[in-house]
Amino acid sequence: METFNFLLALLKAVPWSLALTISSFGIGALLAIPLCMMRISKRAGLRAIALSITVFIRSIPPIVWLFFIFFSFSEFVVQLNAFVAAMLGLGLITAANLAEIYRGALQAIPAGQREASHVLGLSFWDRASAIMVPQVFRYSLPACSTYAIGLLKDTAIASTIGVPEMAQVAYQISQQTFKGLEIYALAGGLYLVISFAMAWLSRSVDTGLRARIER
Amino acid sequence: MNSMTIENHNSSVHPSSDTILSIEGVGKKFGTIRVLEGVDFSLSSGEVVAIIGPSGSGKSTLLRCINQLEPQTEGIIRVGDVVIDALHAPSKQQLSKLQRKLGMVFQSFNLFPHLTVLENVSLAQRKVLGRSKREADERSMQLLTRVGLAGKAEMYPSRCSGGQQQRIAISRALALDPEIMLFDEPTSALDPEVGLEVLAVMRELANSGMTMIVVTHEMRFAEQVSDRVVVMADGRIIEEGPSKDVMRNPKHERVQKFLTAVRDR
Repeated sequence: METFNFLLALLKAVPWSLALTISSFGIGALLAIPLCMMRISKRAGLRAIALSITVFIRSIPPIVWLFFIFFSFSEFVVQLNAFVAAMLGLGLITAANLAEIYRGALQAIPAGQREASHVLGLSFWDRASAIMVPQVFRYSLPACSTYAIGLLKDTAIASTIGVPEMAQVAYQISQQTFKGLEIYALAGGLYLVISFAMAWLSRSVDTGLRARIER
Repeated sequence: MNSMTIENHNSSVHPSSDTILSIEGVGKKFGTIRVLEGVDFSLSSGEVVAIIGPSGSGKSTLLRCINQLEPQTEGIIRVGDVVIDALHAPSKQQLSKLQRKLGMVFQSFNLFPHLTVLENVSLAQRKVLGRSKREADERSMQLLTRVGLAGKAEMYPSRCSGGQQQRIAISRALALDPEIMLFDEPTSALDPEVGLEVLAVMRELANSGMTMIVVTHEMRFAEQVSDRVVVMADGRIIEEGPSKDVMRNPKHERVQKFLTAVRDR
């Protein structure tokens, strides 16, 4: 019965973990677009700036970013709630990583296609929306979903600034009941189930897309 | 066709009214490497010109200069009323006007793998010419039928053979109603047998009066289908004339050697 209550408490925290994963992934996926475009720009200056941003973001551990954003915003700008701070911090890190994944996917598109779309007279936006984005999506899907699963697990560090997600709830229950082993085993199991679900989802989308081009 | 051949004769001296492409003193350097030098050339409406010559002679680069995939570093390229001078970077409007007049077929087809055959042919018609989906698809089907591939419309390019992909690429270029079609070694990536089906489509296109420049290693095509042959070596045009004359009685020793080498293979 006690185990069941623990599980219930953890399940209540699942939406927080998922919401944090999805929102920070969303922010990162969007911010990564301009960052990636700067990274492959013809202008050396833009490329250098993008590279510095990427290296800067990736060199600092996620937990440090989270604390930094949480405290600096609260100090100088507005009182930020813990969830928003975690979302921004993880979103920033995601952007830096996804920009590199996008860049790799863009480079996987043969140069001949760019030339073909040039001589067909397609505008920049038509080229981007009809040719590049759909293929980048396809090429980067496996890497992006691997990253998203990693991100789900990284949301656990949001517990340190007080977001009531799974790791935070597990910590609190273990402090109150001294049944750490049981609680954390349950939490681990839940992370496992969600990760599997995400992997399965991306797998089926990927095979679906592949099956389409084989038609 | 008769009136055209008469005017062709004039065009070799002074560009006549039906000259739709003229190239004056075009050169191209990649860094310090020179790939084209002092190329002069003109093309009349309805004419089919084959450009032949050894690898690395600048044939493809010349073609890519014409549509500005590689902007020339010297000289002037005129296509209709669009004038591209190496001295001034062309404006976006000039470039898009130029692209509209020219269709290009690549050695490696360069179809879009994530779009169906029909979508490949229709895409630019809708985005660039503003045709409705119905209009575009109708035109695409017409062209795909012409190249014998109507049955592949709903498939993806990966399901088509190289020869089929190239015929789709030709349809994609034709769909935009270009004034001149540029072919960059369209059969070089294909098995000889498969190349024939592509050459048949090109022959039919030439007979229908399309103006074409074909960079090729297909000597039979150069001799039989083209009106004129241009031979390039080391970035220059070394011989040029009616195809039968150039192919049978080349004047230039280098051309004689090249043709012998190609034929003896």
